[in-house]
Amino acid sequence: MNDIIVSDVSYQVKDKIILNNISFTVTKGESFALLGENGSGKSTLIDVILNDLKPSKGYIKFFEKSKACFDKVGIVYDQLPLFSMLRVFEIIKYFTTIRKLEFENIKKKYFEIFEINKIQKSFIKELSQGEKKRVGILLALIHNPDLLILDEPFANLDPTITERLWKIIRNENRTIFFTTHNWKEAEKLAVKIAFIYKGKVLFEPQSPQSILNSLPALKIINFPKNENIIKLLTNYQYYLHDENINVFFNEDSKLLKDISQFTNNFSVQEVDLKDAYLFNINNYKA
Amino acid sequence: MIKIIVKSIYYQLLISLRIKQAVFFTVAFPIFLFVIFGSIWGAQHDGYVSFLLSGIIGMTIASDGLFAIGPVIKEYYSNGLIKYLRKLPFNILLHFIGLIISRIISLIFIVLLLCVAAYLMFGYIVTSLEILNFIIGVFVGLFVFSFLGLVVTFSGIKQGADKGIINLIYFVILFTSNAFYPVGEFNKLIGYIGNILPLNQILSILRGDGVNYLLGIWTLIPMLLFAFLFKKVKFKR
Repeated sequence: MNDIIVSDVSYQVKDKIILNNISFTVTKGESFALLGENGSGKSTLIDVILNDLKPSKGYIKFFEKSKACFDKVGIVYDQLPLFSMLRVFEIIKYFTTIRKLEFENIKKKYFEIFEINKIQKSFIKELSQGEKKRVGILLALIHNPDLLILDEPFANLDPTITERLWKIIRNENRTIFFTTHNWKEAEKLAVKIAFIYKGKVLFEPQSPQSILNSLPALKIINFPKNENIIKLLTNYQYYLHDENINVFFNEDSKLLKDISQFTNNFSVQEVDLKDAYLFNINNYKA
Repeated sequence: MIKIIVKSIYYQLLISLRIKQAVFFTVAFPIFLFVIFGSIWGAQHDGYVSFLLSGIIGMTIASDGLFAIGPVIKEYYSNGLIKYLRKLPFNILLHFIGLIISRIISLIFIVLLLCVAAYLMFGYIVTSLEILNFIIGVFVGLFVFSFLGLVVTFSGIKQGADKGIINLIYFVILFTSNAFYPVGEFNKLIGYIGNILPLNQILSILRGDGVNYLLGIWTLIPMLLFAFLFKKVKFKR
């Protein structure tokens, strides 16, 4: 069963193509992360998926049905737009009334885990970004949805609470589609990842491990751009980012020795999703 | 459904009570004006307290309609609250109905406060027919001025600037109207302008002077204009 089907979706404003022929599916129980740099089209895609923007082409289906129904969907937008002059518990009460739930049950089930007790009497306008995020995630969860769509859910959250919340979010084999700027977090939490760049999904979404395995090597050496060293890299795959060179290499190669003849200012790291993204967009640009 | 409307009314009232500026302009300011103007001219002119009472009520309706509905709904759109609420399993109109009913309740409460003030300060007893006229005026006036406010806020004017324009409209309407005194007796041109603008039409209802065709125009045109503008609304990302 596919909980989300994105089929051939494009979104255009005048002549500017913001999303370009995007297709993928999110299957039941999957946690799917959409990763991309700022302005790559992540939030626009979320808006199109959530029916807030009408795609110029293509369609979205939820639970394989053509008509969008959000009854079983929980949503966290990047910014939490709520009534700033209401207190946290008042907002939660209002939402429980709308969703025909018992406030006391929600209080018992979630207030402690989400650390709401301390802030329940605070006005929304007084909350920090992290506290607003916690309230937003709680409001998305109270009706126990089958599918969660989360735009930057853990931004501004303490890592210790992120882990705790993720456990609750993942409960009951829930399907999760989320965007994040935190690549490490995505690597840890998602079972499938899609990279988006300039409104296009770079390749078929796959698991973080298979993305990393598809890279030329599992280690990377990073150093400031140097034309002399670039001449040595004919047999290596690399990408340029922020005036730095990032070369994929195996530990047995003699690259380290060669580079150390020119500079001592280098570091060696395990590859991660960010390397995979930047390597792929460099190839894309080329 | 009823439960949601009741909660929506309750929270909207709570929100407005927590905004000190709103409380001042909707409760304290009208009573203050009524007492001051009534004390200065009420004793000398027979019937002035009754005239002023309906005038102050008209002014409050205009202010509430223009400032408390259009800009609030526009803000819902611009901060993304509407798209958030649209994902909830309820008709979003219930939330707006709650907002409007909360304004009606608040206005009726102010009408009652003003009636009590009229009695306590000037010994003026408001008749049941006057109260009926006031209530009809609240409904019609809130309708007319809300749509006027909505038209200005949704007309594409930058947020922030729209409040300035609404202020300008409000003061032009107020000071050309017969809210505090019959303007036409001092200046015919201003009186003529005031008679075309909507507040005098609402004052006619509040004073039991009936309605004329201009009220129909002020009821229809802003509503149609808003319906046209609303189709063009795009969600903020």
